[in-house]
Amino acid sequence: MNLNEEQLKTERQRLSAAFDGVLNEPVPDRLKALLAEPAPTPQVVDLGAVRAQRKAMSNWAAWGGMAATLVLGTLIGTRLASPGVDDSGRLLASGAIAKALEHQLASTPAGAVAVQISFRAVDGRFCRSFSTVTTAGLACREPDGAWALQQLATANELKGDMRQAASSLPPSVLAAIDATMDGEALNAEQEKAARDKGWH
Amino acid sequence: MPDSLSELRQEIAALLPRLRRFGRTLARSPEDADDLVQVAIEKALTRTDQWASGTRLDSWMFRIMQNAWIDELRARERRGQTFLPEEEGDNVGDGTATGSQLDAILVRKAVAQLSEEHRVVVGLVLVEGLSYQEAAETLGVPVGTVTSRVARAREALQELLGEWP
Repeated sequence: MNLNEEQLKTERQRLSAAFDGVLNEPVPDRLKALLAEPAPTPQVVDLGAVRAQRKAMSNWAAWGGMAATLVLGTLIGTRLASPGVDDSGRLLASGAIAKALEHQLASTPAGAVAVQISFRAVDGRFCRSFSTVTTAGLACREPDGAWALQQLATANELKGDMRQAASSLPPSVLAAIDATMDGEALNAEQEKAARDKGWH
Repeated sequence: MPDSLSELRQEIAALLPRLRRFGRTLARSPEDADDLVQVAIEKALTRTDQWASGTRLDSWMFRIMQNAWIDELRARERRGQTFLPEEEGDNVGDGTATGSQLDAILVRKAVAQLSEEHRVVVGLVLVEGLSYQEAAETLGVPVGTVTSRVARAREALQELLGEWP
């Protein structure tokens, strides 16, 4: 194989790994039912009508999709192996987000990254939630100083007024905070003290 | 080769996992993807006479899905409707997600950033494994168009994802 073919093979494998998961998921009954015997009378409808059959969307609606440039640009570090993921399989914050997690106080927002809440996790690590216009997450500080992402949510490229305020957090991140927090969140004074001590 | 409606239904049912996978390369949310599969099945069952026995059933279904997706995009544009969100952020996790799971998420998100015409060739050629010729027939475009779209889509993915490991 020449280099280009090898590269293509690698890409195919990586894409397969990304999309093959659905092959092992159970097929929803509503799809199987369409092809069952006896077949129901097919009714051609558009996606909007199909969607209307389902429950209303949750608040999560404004979140999802991808701001690839931001996430790929800031979360993915320069680590070797796989992008953003270190040898232990941790996804680590880097760039502006890591900087904000390390230094920024919730009370003094600055730049494109907002930090909302800091707390000690049940396992003793300090954890902080963060958000940008397009990304929100929860990261906890590892003993080696890295900020490991516990939860990551990304907002779709939404038009103007649909965009989430940078201060709001999606339910998935709120749930992760609930599941991780030991006791109460740090107040401003405790947060500052923890930061000044380097989150140890 | 299915020669009755009943057999055709069974064959489509066997393709469901792959149709869902292809749907996820087209649509950005799993819900949209499954809705698309549903619409495509409904359309396919009303026009089984258009399926040429002896040709690839998967390609035929992919073509119906692709056309339904384009119809949907146009309809949404008219309605000024936004897209259903992708909800994968939910699954990233509780801190237990592995590097490969996270990489899979990043790759899917990068694919979601591609243009419509790039996503469809990524889905057909790189994920579903159709040949350029088969993808060209599925889309009703010249092979050269597929070739150049695949090349540009790969460049775009490399740009989004950095060096492939």
